[in-house]
Amino acid sequence: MTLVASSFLGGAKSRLLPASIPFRFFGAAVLFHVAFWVLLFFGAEDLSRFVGGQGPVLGAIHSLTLGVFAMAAMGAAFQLLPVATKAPLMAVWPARLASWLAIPGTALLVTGMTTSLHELQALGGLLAIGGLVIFVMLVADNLRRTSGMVLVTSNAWVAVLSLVAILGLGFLLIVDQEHGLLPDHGRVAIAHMVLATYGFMGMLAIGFSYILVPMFALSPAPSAAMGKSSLALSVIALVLTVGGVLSSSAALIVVGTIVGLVGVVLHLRLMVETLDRRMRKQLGPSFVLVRLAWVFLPLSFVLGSAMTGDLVSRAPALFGFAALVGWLLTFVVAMLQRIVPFLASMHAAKTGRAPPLVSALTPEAPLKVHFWCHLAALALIGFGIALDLSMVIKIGVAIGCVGALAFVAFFAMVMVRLARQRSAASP
Amino acid sequence: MTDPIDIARDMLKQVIDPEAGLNIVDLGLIYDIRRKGDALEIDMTFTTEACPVGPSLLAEVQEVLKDVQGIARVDVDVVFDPPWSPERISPEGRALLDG
Repeated sequence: MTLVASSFLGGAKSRLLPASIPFRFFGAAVLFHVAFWVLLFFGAEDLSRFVGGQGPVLGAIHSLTLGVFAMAAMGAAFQLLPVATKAPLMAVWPARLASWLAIPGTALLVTGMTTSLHELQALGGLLAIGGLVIFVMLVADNLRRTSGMVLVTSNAWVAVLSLVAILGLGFLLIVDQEHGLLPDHGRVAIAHMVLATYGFMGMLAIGFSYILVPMFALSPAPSAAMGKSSLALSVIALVLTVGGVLSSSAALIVVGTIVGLVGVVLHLRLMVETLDRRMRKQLGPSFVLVRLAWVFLPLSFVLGSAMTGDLVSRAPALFGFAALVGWLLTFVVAMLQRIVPFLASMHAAKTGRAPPLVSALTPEAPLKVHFWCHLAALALIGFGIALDLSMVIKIGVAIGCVGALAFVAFFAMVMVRLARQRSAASP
Repeated sequence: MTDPIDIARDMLKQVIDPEAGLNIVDLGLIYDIRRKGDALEIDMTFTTEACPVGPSLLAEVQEVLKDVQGIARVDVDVVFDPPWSPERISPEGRALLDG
């Protein structure tokens, strides 16, 4: 008997990378998540008045952005983009090389920022930039070779271009620490942060949402037209806001923020409509976190505007908290708890044998602990910053750290279950 | 049950989408099964064009259909027109999802 699935199977195997590639990045993200909360604990006294500068808060921010977000993005993009674009990565070894550079580089950079050791910071920064440059090249090559999934690939292109700009600005900021090249270090740092949050991670999060949300919820695909409108507005907003920050134009920043907010509202409307039409009614705690992240996304724009006009005291800290922790961290951990067991199921499957159910690979208990700790941490830290109560912030951060440790347990248990499935499937 | 099409449809219920936890027939991924001489032609889709489990589902389809009596050849064509939508889930599938 001959069996043919000619239109799809060609190259399908090469699009599934060795399990060690995505999981090394996800593992690093899970550990940097713990480091983020630990560093934030030591910087809790300064958090509500933080406007930049070396120390544990800056280390915590980079443990989050580079350590958690960039690592999660690399793991997801290396594995999911080739599947979405139906074009395999040009080679696997550069993905490994990217991990060897970016993971220790980020650890050194975070340590250097926390301890104000500039040499360590420079070395770590250069290694991390090297890893991310490889990531950019691999992803750009993959996107260049595809013409399908326009909404996802367009968002990914904006993310990649933003990352190039972030790396350039990051390099300038590191050099400026020693040599004082920049006329205004603070302005470049804010532009770097806006591009990292909304340009790189934001666009990747939004792009992947168009695949992952309907897939997990069993919903129809979102409207491409509305998604494209949202993307166009987001790109205009990014250009205006970053231009406004670099040129000290409050008007440009405000217009950019308003345009960005409209783009975000379109995206959220699309996502809510997608969920409203879902067939899977019980989506579990992960989608409570996703919905919560969606509340923080527009809130971050409002707080960003308030920061421009000094309208709300401690607006910079509240803005950073809403954008980085409330929106992105909440969204990323929510998606990781679905993606990690899902990829584990794919990697546990042997040719012609049924892969294990994703639910069978998902340990629920540590996720429940993480869920409640994350919610409590968000509430306490938000109130703590708003009321300038460092003890409340510290308690919130400690609870967040317990949640992050529970997430480590979740990840470790999925890996153990994957290993058991693979050894059971071996002849 | 002697019709190879019915037998194949029944056997395809052994293929479970690991994320949805439903078999691919009740999930509405099998659009059509036709007999052409000693061959079966199957039109199949995925819940999304970017479905990461697609290749693994196809491999399983091949595995479960390899012993259908009277069939020498199975052609599986993956199609995305019309795209899958949740309305294609069978009443049995919906009951399982709601449970």
